Amino acid sequence: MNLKRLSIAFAFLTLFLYGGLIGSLFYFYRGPLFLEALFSDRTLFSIRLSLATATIATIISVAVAVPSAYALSRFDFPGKRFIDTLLEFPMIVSPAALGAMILIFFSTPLGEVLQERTVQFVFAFAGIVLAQFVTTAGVATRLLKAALDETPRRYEEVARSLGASPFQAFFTITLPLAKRGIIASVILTWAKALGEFGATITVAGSMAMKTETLPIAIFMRLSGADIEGSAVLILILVSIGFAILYGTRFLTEKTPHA
Amino acid sequence: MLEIKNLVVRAGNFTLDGVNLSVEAPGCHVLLGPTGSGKTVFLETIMGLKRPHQGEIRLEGKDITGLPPERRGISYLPQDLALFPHLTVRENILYGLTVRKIKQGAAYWFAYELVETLGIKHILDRSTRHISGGEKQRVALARAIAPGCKFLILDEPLSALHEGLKKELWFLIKDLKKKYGLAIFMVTHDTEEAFFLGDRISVIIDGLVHQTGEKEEVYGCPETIEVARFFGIGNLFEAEVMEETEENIIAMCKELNSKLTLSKAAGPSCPLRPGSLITIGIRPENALILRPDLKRPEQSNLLAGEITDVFQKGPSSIVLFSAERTNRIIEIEIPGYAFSKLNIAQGDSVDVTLKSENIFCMPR
Repeated sequence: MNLKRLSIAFAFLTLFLYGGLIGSLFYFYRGPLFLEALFSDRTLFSIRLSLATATIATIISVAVAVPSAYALSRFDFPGKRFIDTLLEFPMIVSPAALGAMILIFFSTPLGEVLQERTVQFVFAFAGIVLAQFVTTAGVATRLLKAALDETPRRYEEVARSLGASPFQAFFTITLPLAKRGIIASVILTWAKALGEFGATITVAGSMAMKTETLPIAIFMRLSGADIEGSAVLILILVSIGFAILYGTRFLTEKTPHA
Repeated sequence: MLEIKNLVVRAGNFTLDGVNLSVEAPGCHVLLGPTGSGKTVFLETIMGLKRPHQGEIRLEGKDITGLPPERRGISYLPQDLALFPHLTVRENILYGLTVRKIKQGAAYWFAYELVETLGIKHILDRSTRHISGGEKQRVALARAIAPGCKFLILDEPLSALHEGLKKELWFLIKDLKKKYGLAIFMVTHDTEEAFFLGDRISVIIDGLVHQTGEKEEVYGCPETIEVARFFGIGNLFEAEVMEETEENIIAMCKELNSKLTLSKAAGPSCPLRPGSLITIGIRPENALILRPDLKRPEQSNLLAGEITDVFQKGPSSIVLFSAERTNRIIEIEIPGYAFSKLNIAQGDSVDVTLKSENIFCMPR
């Protein structure tokens, strides 16, 4: 067996692995039950909650990540390397631990005051958004930094020499040039927020019709031995996931790189 | 006028040391030097992208050392041109006006006049990805001049072009400079380009400006051995000053086994006394092989010797000559037509003259 065949065999192994897992869902497919589970109030609430929280968390993440990624990509400043390393923090710490840390923060005097003065985070909608934001902000910054690193600084320098302020150069040159990378980053951040489970359940709990996002709903149904119901919810997540991945490919590969 | 006074820039281990230069409009000052000599660091400092450690940059008398790039009024044309790929040719050219929110008036029409001058009107609505290399250079030039900037910085913008197009753009840049009264600061490693486009030339090597002057002066009389070597002049010899007259210096050159007369006009600015050790040099095209039938001028530095090798080099020939009782070779470049008239070959005995006004000398 040569290297080519061997490596292709491994590529197909990946396909069988994930394809097999998705395929096994259909073993429990019961037509009427599927529609009933899909259109139940509880499922529709979970879908709406997941879409809403993931979207809000992504907007906040990206709003924070764009300027910080730009700083990390373009400037040298004290603490830069430390911040850069810290971006991977949510990835190396278990999501449950991350959620626990958020809970612990809200038990400190500062956290308590913050909750009293602003909004309720623990066991609430805002808590879900916060948990998703905390888990995605680092990744979003890392992805956006990669997109900005690929945009040559030279363009901004020329724009500045032609009279553009740093803000004008950023909005008229850098941002449009990094557009495709930014779109891909936004979509992947959103996907990560949508699938977030560990931190969300730790901070917001798993209250049906209140804080039950799609991944939590899957977990809850499985805990109740409702395999058919779980399969339905998983299929919904898988469909959204594939739509996202194909959308990203379509948007990022459509035109050759500038 | 753009003046740079005593500029010191440090970038990592590299230091640009005490640079003093100026360029007046219309004019072109070329910073010539090998790759890695600090040219780009220097340009980035003038542009305002790097802060100098010391020194001053003045534009029309105003100190701009601390100003950000957008408030300097110096347009920049980098090596890769950096045409904005997401904008059309028109949007690229008008970029400097758009960011200043100029949508009509004299400045706006000036941009269109420029487009006519550069002959790029027909590609205004095209993407910059779909135009030829020469058109890209023209668009980049138009974009740099359109905001009304009189001061232009060119960072080897023609280095990627083929010979024909490069020469066409040399003429175009000269033309634009004259027509719009531009002051151009350009860096290049291409000696031919530097002497064609530059009015004044500075030679920079390892972060140090070795020589600044009018181009004829820099061409004819390199002031340091490094500059002479950068120009590819191999005819460098050690000598000792014997005596000094009002117009000339008489020096003994043991390497050529000969006493040579040097014109003081081509000598170093520092005083020379009998006994001073100097290095003398001559460009290959200034060493002349005398035709046997011509009467020899009395005062020239005549060397008798033998031709050791001959190389054909396109429009000219390189002849290697060894003076009698020496082991040093003098490289002589002869235009094709002169070479055929001389009718010489390897092994021939000939006389060579080194004209005193063409010998440059520098202190050792």
